[in-house]
Amino acid sequence: MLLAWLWPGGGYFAERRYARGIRAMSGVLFLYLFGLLIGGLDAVDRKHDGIWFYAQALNGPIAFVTDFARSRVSSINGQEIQDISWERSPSLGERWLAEDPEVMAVVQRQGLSHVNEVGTLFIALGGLMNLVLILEAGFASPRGKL
Amino acid sequence: MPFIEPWHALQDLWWMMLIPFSFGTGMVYKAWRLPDFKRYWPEVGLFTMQVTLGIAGLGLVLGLIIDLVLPHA
Repeated sequence: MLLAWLWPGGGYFAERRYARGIRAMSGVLFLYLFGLLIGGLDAVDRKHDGIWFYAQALNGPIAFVTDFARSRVSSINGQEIQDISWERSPSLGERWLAEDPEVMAVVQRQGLSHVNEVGTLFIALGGLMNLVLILEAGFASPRGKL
Repeated sequence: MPFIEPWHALQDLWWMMLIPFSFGTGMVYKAWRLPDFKRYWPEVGLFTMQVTLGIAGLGLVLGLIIDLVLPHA
C-alpha cells in the first residue's frame, strides 16, 4: 500500500504486474499533468484549498512536491501572495499598480475561476482514482494474471 | 509557462475539459477493472464516450429544469 501511494501504480509494480501498473500509472499521471496544464501549480494548494488537498495528497509525494513548488513561486518577499494584506502593505500595492515585473509574474501564476476549479478537480480525481489502486494493493486479491 | 502558470485561454472552454477528464478516469478504471488488455483502448474510448455523454446529458436536463420548469413552478 505504501508503494502504491509513493508512486501511482507502484503496488502493481511491486507485484510484478507491469502491464497493469503502466496503464494505471499513465492514467493517474495523465489526470495529474492535465490538471497542472490547466490550472498551473496553483491547482495544488495545501494551505488555501485544504479540503481539496486531502484528495490530491492521495496522488502521493508528487502532490507535496507540487505544493512546495507552488508556495515558492507564489511568494513575494517570503510571503505567499494570497496571505498578503494589500492595505497593510502599501509598498507592495504600489508595485502591483506600477506593474512591477516581480509582482506581476507572481500574480500571473495564480489561477482564477474555471481554470483553477477544473485543474484542482483533475488532480483531486487523480488522487481518488489512485485511492482505488492503493486499496487494491492492500486488500484485494489479484484480478487476472497481468 | 505551461504547468507553472494556469492556461487562462481555457476560461471560456472549461466545459470541453470533460473529455480528457473522462478519458483519464477511463484509463485508470479500465487498467484496474479489465482481466486482460486485448481491448484496453477500445474499452477506454467507450468509457470516455459514455461518461462524457452521461454528464453532458445530466447538465442538459438540469439546465432545462432551471430554465424552463422552475420559472413556471
